[in-house]
Amino acid sequence: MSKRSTANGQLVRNLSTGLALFLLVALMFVAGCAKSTSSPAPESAQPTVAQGSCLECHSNSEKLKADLEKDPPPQVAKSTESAGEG
Amino acid sequence: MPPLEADQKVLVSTSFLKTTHGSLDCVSCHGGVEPASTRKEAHKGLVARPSATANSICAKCHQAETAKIGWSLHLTNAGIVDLKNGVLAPRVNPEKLNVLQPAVDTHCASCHTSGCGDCHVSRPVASGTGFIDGHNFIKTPNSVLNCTACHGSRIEKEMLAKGPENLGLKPDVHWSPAGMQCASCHTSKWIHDPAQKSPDRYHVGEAPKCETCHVSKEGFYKNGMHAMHANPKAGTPDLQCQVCHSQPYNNCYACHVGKDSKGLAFFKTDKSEFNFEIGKNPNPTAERPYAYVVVRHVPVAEDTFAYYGQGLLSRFATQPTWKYATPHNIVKQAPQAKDCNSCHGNPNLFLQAKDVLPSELKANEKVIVTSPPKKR
Repeated sequence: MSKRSTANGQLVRNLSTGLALFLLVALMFVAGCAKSTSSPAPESAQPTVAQGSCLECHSNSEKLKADLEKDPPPQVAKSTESAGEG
Repeated sequence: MPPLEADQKVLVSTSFLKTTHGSLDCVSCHGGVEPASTRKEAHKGLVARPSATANSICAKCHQAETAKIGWSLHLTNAGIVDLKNGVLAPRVNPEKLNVLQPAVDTHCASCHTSGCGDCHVSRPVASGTGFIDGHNFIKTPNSVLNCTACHGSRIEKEMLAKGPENLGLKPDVHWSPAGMQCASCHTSKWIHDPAQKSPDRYHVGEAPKCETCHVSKEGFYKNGMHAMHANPKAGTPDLQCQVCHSQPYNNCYACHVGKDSKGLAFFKTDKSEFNFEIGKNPNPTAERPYAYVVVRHVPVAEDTFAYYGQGLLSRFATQPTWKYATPHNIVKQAPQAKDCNSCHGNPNLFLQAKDVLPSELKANEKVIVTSPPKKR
């Protein structure tokens, strides 16, 4: 086999390897884009809160605050005479 | 620890709703009415702390964890309030238990946990309640929000080095830098699954022991001090680990209880102070065979319950007021263990008659060290 034909074979192998690498990188890029566009959770994943349910108040800080300000819970009576460490 | 705002105490996080507990209907654990148009209507028949009820709802699923919960000293507080078997038992006047028991229940029982939830979902009732993490359940109690929320005067101050600044205290080495949590030593076996019922914390078989981790370490007895004072075969006095590795700790004196003009319970302690006293072990056992231990002054006094009647602790002097203690302020090298003569020839480290109130001398006969070790 001549030196020339050996050089041609090497060229073909290099081109094939380069093409395969290019395709692999392109595939990874496309897959990465697809993943990044699908990451935000859809709104429907959030729990729905029914009107009149416990969670209507207990999962809503603003509602709880307003309700507690309007009708404060009774305070636990404690003596003010306690002193020192228990 | 500052209390939570009222709304934060009961605000449920959305992350809870994705958990097993969060998938249950609120009313299935808490009762109440759902749907409802007002708070009053919604809270009719509400059970705010379902785990605090007899035959707690938790047991329906968590049978193994709750099977022996009735033995849990955290739940019963029996070590303090059981006047027949607890720590007060040897001091009480047995003929006046009917007067003393209500007093103890009023003033000394408020710290017990009210159920599973006090450690696994909320701050304890005694520290103001409120969710730890938006109603999410936690398997391991939070050292700060749960444990030291109650164990503050002694454990928190000692473990976090919150004593007087002039003492130069360091945090317990297990806490910092080691980063261990309370539950690292105080396991669930000790807290709510003991092998047998115990009258107080020092009798629980699963109580943490330093030796469990440290004595088994290779080289433990190559340390000359360990070879001499932590080895029962050495022929020298065996010392509790804290004698060498603890720092000054909190001591309380003369707690008195009563009720104010509105009928509300109160307590007053005379003083609290950080100091360090080595005493004789008043009650050597197979588990704690040490000759010398660190002793802490307990707050009870002969007239602690005088508001309720005279002579309720008629056998007060049968027990020391300086008691076996396990301060949570361990360091690798405490000043008293720097070398032999840091302790030997340093009588101020030892509980002597001069350190004891005259009225408590008889009670402490067994723990007072009459001949502290001389300089070597």
